Amino acid sequence: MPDSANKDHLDVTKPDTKTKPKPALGEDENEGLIQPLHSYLLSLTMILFSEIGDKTFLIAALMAMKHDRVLVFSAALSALVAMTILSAILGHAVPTLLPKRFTNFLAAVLFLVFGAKMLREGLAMSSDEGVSAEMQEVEMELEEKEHLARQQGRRRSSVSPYALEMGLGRGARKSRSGSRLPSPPRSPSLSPDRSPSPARTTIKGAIAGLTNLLSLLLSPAWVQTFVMTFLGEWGDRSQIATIAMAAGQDYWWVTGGAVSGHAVCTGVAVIGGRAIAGRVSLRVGTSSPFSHR
Amino acid sequence: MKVANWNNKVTLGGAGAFLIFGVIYLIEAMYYA
Repeated sequence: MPDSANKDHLDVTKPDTKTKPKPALGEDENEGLIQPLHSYLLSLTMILFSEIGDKTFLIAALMAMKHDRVLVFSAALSALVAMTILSAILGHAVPTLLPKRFTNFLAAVLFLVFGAKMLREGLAMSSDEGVSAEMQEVEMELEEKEHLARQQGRRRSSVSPYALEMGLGRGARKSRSGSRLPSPPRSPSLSPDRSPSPARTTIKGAIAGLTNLLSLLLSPAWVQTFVMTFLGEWGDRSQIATIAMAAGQDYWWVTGGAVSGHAVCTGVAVIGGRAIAGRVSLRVGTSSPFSHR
Repeated sequence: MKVANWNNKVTLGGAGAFLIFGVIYLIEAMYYA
């Protein structure tokens, strides 16, 4: 009996290890319709379709008209990646609370509702409205933010010229670096660092270079694009769809697909945004692209 | 005008994609989960 028991035990374990431990997993994966690569492609196409012409797309397009493309692309993509990771974490947490069948059903309902809503919007869309209406909305928002930034800059810079005239270079320098507007080139007479020794000039030059690099990396335009994209994406249908997909599927692949989709969309917005927005909006098209570049 | 039409098509395409995804997830929920 003990021998038979041992044999039985070994017979049970051996076929399990020998036959197919991985194919067994593969069979489990093949049970569903959506496999990892499929979920990657699904999330990629979902993001591509829902993001093109969206608010975040327009923000990136409009900001790319006024600021450096690489800067806008990095800011918008960082915001979208952060949002996608948050959505994926949220989506990954949901199935621990709810059964998988229910989350899949919920995802199906969400997709169908969003699809029906988009279909209605698309059918009701006349040729006059569309991107231009949303573009004007985003333009207004951007103008408001820039107006606020200008006012803040004026408040801060109203102190600095006086301080510079009085020889308070350091205080003025700090206030200038804290300003949210890009600093205009200084005239030599106004420059606060007029140091006599060459050793000091090299050190100060290095410090100035470092501060310039940091201001370039975290410029006001970068921060503005990041914040606007992050807030614009919050509660958007693509975010909710990402949560739903991450809940139902392999969230690593969903996140990868969503990030790729966002990268493609933002790239298109930043590269082609100038042409699209220039055609749609005469105001922005005539003022910024030619005056700033 | 061209952009508006283009946006219209993208919206309709997105709607179609979302509806297809909805059906896929519905089948997944009904038969496989």
